[in-house]
Amino acid sequence: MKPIFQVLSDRELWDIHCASLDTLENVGVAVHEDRAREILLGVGAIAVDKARVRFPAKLVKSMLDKCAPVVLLYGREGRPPLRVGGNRVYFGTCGYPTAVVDWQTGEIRPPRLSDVVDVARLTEMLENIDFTMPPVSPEDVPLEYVDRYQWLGTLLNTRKHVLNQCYGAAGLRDMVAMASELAGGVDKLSREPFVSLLISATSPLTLRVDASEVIIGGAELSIPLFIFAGPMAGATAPATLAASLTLANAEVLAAMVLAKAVNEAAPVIYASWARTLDMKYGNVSLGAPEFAVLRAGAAQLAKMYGIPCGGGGLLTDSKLPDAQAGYEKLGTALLPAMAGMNMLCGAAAYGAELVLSLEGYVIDDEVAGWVKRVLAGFNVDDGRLALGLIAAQGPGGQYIKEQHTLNYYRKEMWIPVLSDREGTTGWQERGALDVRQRACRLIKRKLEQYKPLSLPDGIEARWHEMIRSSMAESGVR
Amino acid sequence: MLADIAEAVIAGEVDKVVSLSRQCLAAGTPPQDILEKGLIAGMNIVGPRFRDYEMFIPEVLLSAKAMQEGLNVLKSSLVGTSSPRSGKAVIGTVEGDIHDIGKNLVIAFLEGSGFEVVDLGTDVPPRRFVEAIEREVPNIVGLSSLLTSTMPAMQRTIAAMAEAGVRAEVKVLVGGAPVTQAFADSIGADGYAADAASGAAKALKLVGK
Repeated sequence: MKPIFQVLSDRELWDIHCASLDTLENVGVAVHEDRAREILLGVGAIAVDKARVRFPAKLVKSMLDKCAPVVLLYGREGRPPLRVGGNRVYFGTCGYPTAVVDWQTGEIRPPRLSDVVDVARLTEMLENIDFTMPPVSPEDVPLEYVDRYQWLGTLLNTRKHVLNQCYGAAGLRDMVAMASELAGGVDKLSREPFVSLLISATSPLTLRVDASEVIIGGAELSIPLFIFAGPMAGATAPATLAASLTLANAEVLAAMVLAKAVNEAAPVIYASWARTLDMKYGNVSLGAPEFAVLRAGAAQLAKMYGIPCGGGGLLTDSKLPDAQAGYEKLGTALLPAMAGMNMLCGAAAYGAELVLSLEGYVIDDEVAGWVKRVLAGFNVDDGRLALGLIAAQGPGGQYIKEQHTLNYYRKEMWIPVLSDREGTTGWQERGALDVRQRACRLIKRKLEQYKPLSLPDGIEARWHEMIRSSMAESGVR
Repeated sequence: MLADIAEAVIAGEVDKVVSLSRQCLAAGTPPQDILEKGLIAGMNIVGPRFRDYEMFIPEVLLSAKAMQEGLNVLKSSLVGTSSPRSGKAVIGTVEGDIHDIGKNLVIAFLEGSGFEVVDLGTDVPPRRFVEAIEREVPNIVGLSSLLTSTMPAMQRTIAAMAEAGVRAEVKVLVGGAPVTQAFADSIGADGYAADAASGAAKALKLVGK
């Protein structure tokens, strides 16, 4: 048996499901993009007024039936795809930090394009980080086109799957152009997409123009859609967790109906960032225990629907890799992972996704390894029970030199990369480094070991040129 | 062939080390070369790999065993030439203390470094250390203690060695969780090491290798 974590009984799950369908059918969702509204009305949604659309339960259920239980997220150059579904768990970054803790100086400063590049390279090198999201919004590039520079920095420096956020149809067009060049054509990109699209429904009960554009454009190309909603309990949702989960569920289902109405085969992943508002500071909290249990609830909903799922995880409100970060990140990683949430986004993020720390990337790779080991549980069989060996050694026996130890220890014991398990004296002799200091050393080594990807000649210059002409077209300087 | 022996030591292939060493001897390779360019060359790779987290204790122990078995093959041929060993060590957990995992690891690493090791076991009174020194004539005496309460026994053991007039003949190496360099200095030990691998390195240094 593997470790499992659930927060909702079957009855509670059903109640939240019914409440979501009730909300979709009788309250509806504001859909602000004309084409999206037409598509929805065309498949049986009902217009309430100029913006609001109601979703009959029958429509929602028929679209849920079209969702595949596993979505493949490809990498490049022969990397095996992530098979998102079942109870597999993958770890990746999230993409919102607006500040960086400089791993070399320790100062908190605005992000740069070079940070995007460094994180992509670390992604490439770290074993337990399975996918990435462009990690920060660099401020040393034109801000309206920051998404393009994020893709450039990321796609040119890692072969792992990239979850991208596009600001509307124009952004999607440029991202697809870039990814298609790497894929060798848009058809190939559609067949084996190594990028997916992060789409956010706006709480409460709203689909913005840009989100609708990306859903439609992405679904048309069969690029996987990672659709999430992030109602804040007490601000954009009632203060109760049940209502927040219900609203998030309704919002994600509405966006999925649109995707499936565009293209039945569009791959969709159910994600939820439902969270709470801290009532002292008015900030959202992503390191809260509620965040962990909400993820488990969302994973249970997605599993009931048979859809692969993801969301925030491995997150903290602490601004830097300290003890608070340690307990919040482990809690918000371990519990969702034990709930079978397939994709956890949060590596390297601090300060509720507002601060990025490169050393955190290395530390979170370690946390991910720790969690993956827990998920594996342990097997009980004759070989592992080792009764013959126990009898042979008897009281006072020794096992360290036994062949059995050699055969099993690597299978049974997770071997840490970063964690300190040394004796106190040796640790002191080696400079008494804490985890953050050790992580910085590892970053340096990893970045030195990184080998640039083999890329088409002149691609970076072409992309810079494409971004510049795209900017000129829309009048951005 | 000598490189193959080194590889087999690194891989912990005991049987292969033995058969290759025999083949080399039969083919007329000087035993000193088999020792230095085969067995020891292999162990010289194992050390850094262990330090760099590429090999772990069980693999190191197996490599050490392969080295030991290889040495046994060479033993008779090396008679008359200089000793194949780095030296001889007598080691034990001091009186009142029954912990031996750390001590056993030190033994494995000492053997892997070419020492012949005599293990006195645990809860060893000072008198038995003295007797062993007189009997075995070692270069190194290793004292182990896990408990703070048994640290004074280390001091008593060294005092007993001095009283019996054998202290000057050996280098005393101490280790164990509560032991520090400062404590080692205070009881007049010759060396201290924080873990098994550095213990073996320290022992080599103390015997001038």
